Amino acid sequence: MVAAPADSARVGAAKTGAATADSETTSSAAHRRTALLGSVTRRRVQSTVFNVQPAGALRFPGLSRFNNPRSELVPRFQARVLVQLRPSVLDPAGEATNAAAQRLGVDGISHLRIGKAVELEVDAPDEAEARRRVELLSDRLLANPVIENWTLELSQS
Amino acid sequence: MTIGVVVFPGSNCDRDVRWATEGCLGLPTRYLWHEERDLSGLEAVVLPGGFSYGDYLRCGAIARFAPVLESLKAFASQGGRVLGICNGFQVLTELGLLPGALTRNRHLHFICESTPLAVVSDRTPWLATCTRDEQFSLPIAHGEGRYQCSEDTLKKLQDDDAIALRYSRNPNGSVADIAGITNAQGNVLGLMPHPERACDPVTGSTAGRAILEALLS
Repeated sequence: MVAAPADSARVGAAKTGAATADSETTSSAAHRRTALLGSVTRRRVQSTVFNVQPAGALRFPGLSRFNNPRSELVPRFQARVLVQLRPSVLDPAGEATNAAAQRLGVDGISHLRIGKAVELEVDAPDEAEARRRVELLSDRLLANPVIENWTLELSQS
Repeated sequence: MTIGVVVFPGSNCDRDVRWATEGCLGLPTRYLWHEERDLSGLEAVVLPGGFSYGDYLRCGAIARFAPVLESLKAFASQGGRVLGICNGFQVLTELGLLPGALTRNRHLHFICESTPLAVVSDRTPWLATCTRDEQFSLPIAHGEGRYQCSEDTLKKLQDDDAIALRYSRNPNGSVADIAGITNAQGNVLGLMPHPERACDPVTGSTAGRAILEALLS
């Protein structure tokens, strides 16, 4: 977008190729300034149309909420929940894999236990709220506390 | 006096149960789609075997949120009889109507065979026609039937006389050889063996009839 007026400025300068090097530089610089101003104006127009503060958008990348009239931006968090069988629960799949590691000839492997990693994204106003929601999800759905433990890693994108 | 058989997407023993209750025992039976909430007119509900919702995440973990099970919780708390067979047992533990959980078989195999069982408790209507230590065989067919629970839960099961059936030769590594348990009140039974597959003499055994007859006794 910004490049287009600058290019046409250059094309314009090329068309008046007979002009002196001095005047070419001047006209080119003037065109560039106009182009730059134009791009600034255009960006302002855009921000009015979408009702988004550019600085805010940079600080909190994420989806704006459709039901929020102020179209407030909610930060997005990446979560990874690791679900593991409790240490007291036999993990036959882990034991079979451990045995296969020995058959493969990889020595020194022990305590091999198989769990699940659940990756998800959550839009929440702050990290504490994001953590609360994913913890609830982990407790109620992703893991069965009777047989499984879970740990949560949370980071903001 | 009707039995409801819940049909989840992925249930595959629902028609076997209906054949056993209606076809073999003459008990009126109707299907309950997993989105139904109306359990009126039902005396008992069966959660059949299969792979509800593909058994995604864990066996029974998704089924637990089915609308029909919200009604089932109220139904069970009012004393209605609930029988969970195989996947139905897994759903009952995920739902919290029965304690513990069912995990991968000790040797990782899907086991499909007839297995000898012993009656541990004749306290509940489910096995009232049997005597303690009576032995009979029922078919099992599961990959995740290893019953697991904490020491405290096991003690409570024993104190409540809530262990209904034990394996005579533990096939899957279940804690205390447990094959089936009831709740403390005795109106909810969950078991891994399939009584509905031992009702029709054509298939070789009628040992499962007693449990299914108890639905409307």
